[in-house]
Amino acid sequence: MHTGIEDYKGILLSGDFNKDTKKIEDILKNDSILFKRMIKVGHTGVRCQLYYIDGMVNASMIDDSVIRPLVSTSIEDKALATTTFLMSNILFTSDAKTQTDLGEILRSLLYGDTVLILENSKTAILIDSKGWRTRGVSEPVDERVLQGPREGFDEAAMLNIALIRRKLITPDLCTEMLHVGKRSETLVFLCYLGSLADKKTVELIRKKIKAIAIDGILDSNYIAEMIKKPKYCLFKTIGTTERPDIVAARLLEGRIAVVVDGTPVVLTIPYLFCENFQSDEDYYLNFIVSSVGRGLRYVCFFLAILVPAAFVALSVHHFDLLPTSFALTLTRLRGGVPFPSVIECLLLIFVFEILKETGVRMPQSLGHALSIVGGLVVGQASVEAGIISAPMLIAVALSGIAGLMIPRLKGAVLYIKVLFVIAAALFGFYGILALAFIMLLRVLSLDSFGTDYTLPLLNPNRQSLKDTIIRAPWENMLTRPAFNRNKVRKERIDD
Amino acid sequence: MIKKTFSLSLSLIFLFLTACTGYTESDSKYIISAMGFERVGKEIIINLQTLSADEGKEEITQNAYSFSSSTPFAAFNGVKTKLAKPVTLEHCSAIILSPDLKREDIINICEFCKNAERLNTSVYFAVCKDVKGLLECKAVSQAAGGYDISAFIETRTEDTGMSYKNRLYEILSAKEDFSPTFNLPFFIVEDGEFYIDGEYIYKDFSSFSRLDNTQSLLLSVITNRYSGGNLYIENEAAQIDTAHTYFSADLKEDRLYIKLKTKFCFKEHSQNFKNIFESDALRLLNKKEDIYDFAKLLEQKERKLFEKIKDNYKEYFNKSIIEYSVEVMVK
Repeated sequence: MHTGIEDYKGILLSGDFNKDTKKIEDILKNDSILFKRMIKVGHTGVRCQLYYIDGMVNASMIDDSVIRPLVSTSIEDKALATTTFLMSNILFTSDAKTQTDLGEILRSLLYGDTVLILENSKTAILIDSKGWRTRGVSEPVDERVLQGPREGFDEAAMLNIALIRRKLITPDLCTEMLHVGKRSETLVFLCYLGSLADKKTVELIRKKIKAIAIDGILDSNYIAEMIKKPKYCLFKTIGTTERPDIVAARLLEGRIAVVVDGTPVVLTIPYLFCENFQSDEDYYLNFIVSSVGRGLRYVCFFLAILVPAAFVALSVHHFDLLPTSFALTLTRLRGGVPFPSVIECLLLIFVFEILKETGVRMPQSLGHALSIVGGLVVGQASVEAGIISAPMLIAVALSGIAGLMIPRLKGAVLYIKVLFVIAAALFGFYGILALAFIMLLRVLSLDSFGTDYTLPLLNPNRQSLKDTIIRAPWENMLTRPAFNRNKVRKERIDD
Repeated sequence: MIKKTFSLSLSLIFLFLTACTGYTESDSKYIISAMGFERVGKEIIINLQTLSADEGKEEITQNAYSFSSSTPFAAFNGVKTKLAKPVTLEHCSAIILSPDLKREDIINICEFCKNAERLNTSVYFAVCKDVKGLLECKAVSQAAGGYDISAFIETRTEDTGMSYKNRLYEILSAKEDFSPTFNLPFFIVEDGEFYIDGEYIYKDFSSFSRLDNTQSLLLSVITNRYSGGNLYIENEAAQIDTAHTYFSADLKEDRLYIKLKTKFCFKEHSQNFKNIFESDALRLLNKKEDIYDFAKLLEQKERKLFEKIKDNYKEYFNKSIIEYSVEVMVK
């Protein structure tokens, strides 16, 4: 049983009009939106079968540029009714090509092209007539900026490539097209700047994408999950963005972008740990403001993962480290709370995550009401009812809010936070230290497609740190990231 | 790599299991804010001032418990059996001693404090005749009476500029000295309220001398434990910026000569302050009690001389001639 386009690859058209058209119609017999029309080329009497998928094509373009010229042509000589003649003299389309392979013909047809099968011809004409509606270029909801470009990717890969291309007007920009997914035949583009990207990394990614065996790719995360190594890791080793400016900036650093049709999320490789703390608009704001913001994000990362754990450790293991007045306040406020501190903490983290998730999924108008009900009413009522203690609520809320500062690490922060709380409850600060040590080892052992994950932090030098913990002025950023073989970004111009 | 990380994690967990301390919630234990020791007959009585968060109450409750036994360790273990929750010494701020305690008792108490789990080494020591009464005093400004005691000592030190050698670490470190000396503030309890009235000097872990407030100030200046402030002596007052006492000693004809000179830098002072201070200090110095810990000063500053006399230091000190003078400088 045939399942995908690949199964028809290598099967060539026979040249027998009836047989070839029947074959195509048999393959797509269950496709109710397949449009077919038999026309005759001018006065020659040569039959021509037209196929396209309704809704995926620009119908008026087919009418004006394909059907009308074919029908109204004045040629009478049967010998002229060949694919080559029609393409060069009759059809008014900009993109048309011939194809003999049935697999490729089907792929084009199902991706919005119009297929013309000509009587007595072993080749079909494929006319680019894609005309489906797209969402259009709009600002990505999750990557909003106060200052800077506001365009975002769309679900159409071609449009996305065009958006990148518009920012990088250079012949150095390479876009390789691949098809992934046995049944979906999703278009995947590998984009990179030939002179900057590491050839080995490009080859590695290409190999990994080609090796993907899956029925369908509906989002770039399918690919990210399948090419990522190690698979079970809390940290992202592949970057994602919906912004063409970010992709362009990363390509300029020698990274590789993977654009997947059907999703606005573009993958960028390699992805380093320090990128989690970089914001899209770091480069559009004053470098001092950006540097402060970046420093704040590092602080918030530690606050997010450590505050609840440190609080649990202090209250159940290291009570002596608390100032006496605070220790007494804590004791007073905890009086009557039915749960142990660790359970109380984990419950609050759980509730906070529920509130966060519902807030994200809710319509915006309901989201505000939810945050008021969740944050104020439930929080305050729980404290007053003695179900939770106010200091624990503050610790978990602080951690949660700090975590929102680093959205790229949102999943990792949650898991690490919970692990730290458990370690703190079991062993106090010893547990926190031990886990921190294990985490550090784990992060240090990671790599993103051959590039050390902690690269600028692991082997710091003056230049590499200029876009890591701070964002130095462009004037001073003379080199590209350390993983790039072509390091010099900017020649120093001596006055 | 996964195997390595896993085995490393496991070994670290086992390693840290050894450091695993007891998980105790803050509200499920008694916080001891102050402790007191007194001797009655052959037994030592321990008095604990405890704080606890009781269910259904918004405030922290202060209680006092006592138990008597032959040693501080036994008394402490005994009092714990009277309590429904475990106790924690982490936030104990004051230890009150009764003046009746013997040398061995104080050494035992110090030993107990040294080994007590999580007792802060900065805890204050003080003396009071009515130990139980002092620990039963209700809190005025702090969360518990015990914290009032430590706050009282701190405020007194700040206000007068004098300081005590009364923290646990100071007392424990004094143990190593030739003649361990420390001074503890003396509390008087009257009608549920308390105040400081001078200090007790402990020498070699025995109660050695009691000084009133004025003597306490003089001693503080002579031993360079005075940091400046308003000084009042017999209706004479001075606003002192700095005060430093210089010490020198000599051995002439088998007699110890000690020369002390205090240099005051005044902001303001009354006419007779210098003379009165000088005469009062001299009177205190001529008591021939080494409440100043001169032995330690000699050991530090006149090492050779000290080596000569250390075996008969008491005799030498009793026969010593002490000269004292005051020099003033108005800023």
